[in-house]
Amino acid sequence: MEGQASGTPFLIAGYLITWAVLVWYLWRLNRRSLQARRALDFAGATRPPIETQEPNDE
Amino acid sequence: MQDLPEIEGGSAPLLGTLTLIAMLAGTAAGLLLVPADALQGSVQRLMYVHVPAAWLAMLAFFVVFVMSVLYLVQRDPKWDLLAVSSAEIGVVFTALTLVLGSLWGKPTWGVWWTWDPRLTTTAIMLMIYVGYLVVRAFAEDPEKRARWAAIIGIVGFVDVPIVYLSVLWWRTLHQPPSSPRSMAGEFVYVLLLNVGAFTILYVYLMVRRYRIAVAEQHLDERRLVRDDPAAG
Repeated sequence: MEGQASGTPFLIAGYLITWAVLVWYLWRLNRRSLQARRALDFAGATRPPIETQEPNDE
Repeated sequence: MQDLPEIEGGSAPLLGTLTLIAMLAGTAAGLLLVPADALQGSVQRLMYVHVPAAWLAMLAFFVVFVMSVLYLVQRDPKWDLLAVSSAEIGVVFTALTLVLGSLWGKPTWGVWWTWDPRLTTTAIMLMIYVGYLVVRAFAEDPEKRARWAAIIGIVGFVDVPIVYLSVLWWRTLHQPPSSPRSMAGEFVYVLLLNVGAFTILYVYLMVRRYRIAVAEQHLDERRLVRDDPAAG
């Protein structure tokens, strides 16, 4: 039983590390995604082509 | 040039929600539902993240292999972008597998690390795919980058079945592959639940990472055209 109890910190560390890696990788994907979105917006790549834009009455 | 997909939105939020539910269910089942192993105690519950993480990594590298072959045959950049997306995810989860294995090894084997065939071949696998990503980072010409990466993606995959079979081929400290024949039913169900959750996680991460890869390719092509108008 003593040996079993001594394994618990390793178990907790394992699950915490697993979730930490998931959160870190998703954060990294979100940040890269945002950077790409901003760069594409800046380059005008995500705007619709001129001919498909709604006519502006003003 | 690939069509530019939505970087965010589309099916990703729904898939993300499904992934979160599956991962939480897997974690809850592994920590709370299933009983502790009679010999190892609670630390054996690390199996429910260690084995699925290893499965995800091997699945990811298999996808790299298939996409690399497709790229060399068809020369469609789409396959290269899928390959690099999968390779990056595979590297993250191989590293996680090694860390979890080390955490499991210390209380059961008494050491954090040993040059056991399973551990050594897994470390080599990690190095191969880190190399794959490094080669990509250094190659500026997109076509050369994709071609070299595809060759590494195919040749490097040789190590993946060796990792799997290492516990059968050599006398090792690592246990043989877990299977329904070697485990009680409730352990198998929880393991399968977690393998399923990690598989959904892989699909979700692939969707997110591939969209970024396509967006970055668009940006690269725009930079090339700006720097060298003749290239456009």
